[in-house]
Amino acid sequence: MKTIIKLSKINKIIGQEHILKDIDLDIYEGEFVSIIGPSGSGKSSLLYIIGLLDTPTSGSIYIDGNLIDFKNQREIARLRNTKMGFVFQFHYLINELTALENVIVPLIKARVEIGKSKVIARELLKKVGLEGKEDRKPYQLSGGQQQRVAIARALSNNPQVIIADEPTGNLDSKNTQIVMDIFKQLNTEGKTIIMVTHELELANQTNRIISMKDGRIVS
Amino acid sequence: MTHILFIALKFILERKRQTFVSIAGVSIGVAAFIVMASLMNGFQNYFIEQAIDLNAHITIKVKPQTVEDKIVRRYYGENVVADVYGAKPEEKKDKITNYRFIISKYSKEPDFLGLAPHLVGQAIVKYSTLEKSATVIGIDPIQERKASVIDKFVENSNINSLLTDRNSIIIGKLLAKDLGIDQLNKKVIITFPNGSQGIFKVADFFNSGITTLDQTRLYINIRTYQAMTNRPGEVNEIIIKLKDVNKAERLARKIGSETGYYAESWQKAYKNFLQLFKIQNYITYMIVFAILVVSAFGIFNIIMMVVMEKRKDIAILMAMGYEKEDIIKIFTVQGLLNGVAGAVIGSVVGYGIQEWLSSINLDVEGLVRAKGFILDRSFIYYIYGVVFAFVFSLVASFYPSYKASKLNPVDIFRSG
Ligand SMILES: Nc1ncnc2c1ncn2[C@@H]1O[C@H](COP(=O)(O)OP(=O)(O)O)[C@@H](O)[C@H]1O
Ligand SMILES: [Mg+2]
Repeated sequence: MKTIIKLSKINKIIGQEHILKDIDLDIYEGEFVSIIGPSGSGKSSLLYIIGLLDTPTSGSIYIDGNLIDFKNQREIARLRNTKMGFVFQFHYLINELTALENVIVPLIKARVEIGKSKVIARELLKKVGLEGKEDRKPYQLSGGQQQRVAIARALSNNPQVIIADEPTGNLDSKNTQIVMDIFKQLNTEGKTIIMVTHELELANQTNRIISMKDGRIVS
Repeated sequence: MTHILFIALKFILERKRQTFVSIAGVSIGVAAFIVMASLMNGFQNYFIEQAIDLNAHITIKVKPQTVEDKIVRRYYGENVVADVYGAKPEEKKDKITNYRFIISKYSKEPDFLGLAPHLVGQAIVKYSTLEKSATVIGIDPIQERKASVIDKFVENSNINSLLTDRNSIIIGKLLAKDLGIDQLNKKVIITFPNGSQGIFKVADFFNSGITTLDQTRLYINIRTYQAMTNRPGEVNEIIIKLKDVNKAERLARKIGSETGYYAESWQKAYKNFLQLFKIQNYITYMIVFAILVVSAFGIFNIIMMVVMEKRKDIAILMAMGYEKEDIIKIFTVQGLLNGVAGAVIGSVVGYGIQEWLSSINLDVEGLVRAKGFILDRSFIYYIYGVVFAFVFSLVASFYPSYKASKLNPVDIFRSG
């Protein structure tokens, strides 16, 4: 199995806090990994580093075997734009934009022209079950629908990896299962998914569970 | 660039009220600039043009007598200096003795278009029972035309009648009015300083638009004037017309040192006014600048507010691969769009106000007389206005945009 993301001796220290301690982790292509652990154990911090949103205090990250140079912010931005899709606990949709327009935001950054972006976005919204809701503003959608727009947006540049931090944290059980089903579907289509969750029941539906405690991977 | 414009426009269009206010601010600044600049420069240019035309580019005069000249003798004592002044001014000094030589000498030089002799003095003009004092200028109409644009200001172009009828005069329009003369060919009595009197016919009116001149000037044939005042062949002033009015200062200095007479450039003659104009410009541009600064603060404010409100959007944009420069551009473009919209609207409003001002018909009587406002409607003021708006809005929006680009998305995601 091919390693798509490799972390080696990652430490993150903020002020006096040692948040991540000597993390070694391999993520394989096509995996659906869940990260669990008590609140404050460092799950989000780890995810931000995997997603190249944050810089580790020490240690190395390899993506597709290439060492990431954190000084090259342009390249990192490009990787975030094309290689990864982010889903958070909150949808972080832009209020001024419709569902469709929110989905095209990463596409137009990747220089896909607007007309083509809209075709792709329509397709993706259909895939997450939001056909007909394209022109709604975020506040005209339910919480579950908002989160599905966010997933469609994360998928827009057809990234290899989906990074999700408690994506169902704000959803009821019905919507939680809808989101979970979407993720499983995406995983069968070949996407690598890394998901933080505090629900063991969800973690059990994934290929591998990584358990964290006090900034360390315990299993 | 599409992604930047797309997001910037969406952000702007969703806050119409604030955008409207900040655009209005810029519009007012730009319109004010265009109108003020065209009014001020219009008036000043008009004034200077008239002044140059009326007062000759350079005037050669007899040196005004200084206090030093009147000192006949000076005594030095212990801790004291005593001066003895001459009892009466030296009359014979009011005369340019070698004026023929001066005129012919400079007529040959390429910088000079024309020179004309004057004999200038004071007189009392009487019509029926009214008396007014006047500045009498004795001219040679033929030479005068080469050295000044007197024709432009003589209402009925009857300047040649000074030649055909030696006892005719051209009188300032306002002086005539003050005397109650409203028609040509009226007869007036002129009393000269030496006591001689004569009857003269009003051949034409002199109407320059400059109030003080029109109230006091009176033109007469120089030979008549010389005869009446018993100063045969005398000249006490030479006026000069130059090819390039901007060379007046330099050429005046040259003439001064070559002839020994006092040569005054138009800039020097109008020094007080030019100084006044400078102050006027300074004040006006300060006011306009203040308006623009206020409108820039409007832009600063709105962009700062958007940045504060949009922290989460900025974080997600960065997570999705938008770079720091993209963020800076997204917000400066919003500021620039405000500025450019304000500049366009301001230019249109400014144009409208110019149209309105130039259509107003009113009698302005002050430093100059005019029918309505004199506007300098150069296109350059529009360009300046637009450039100012552009620069101000760029400067105003850059700081908040830069701040936005410095946000750390992780901090924002952590705080929810
Ligand atoms: N900016 C920060 N400064 C100091 N400590 C921080 C900061 N951000 C997070 N932490 C600490 O790092 C630890 C890990 O946080 P986090 O990764 O959010 O945990 P989790 O997602 O597992 O709840 C926590 O103890 C938290 O208090
Ligand atoms: Mg967390």
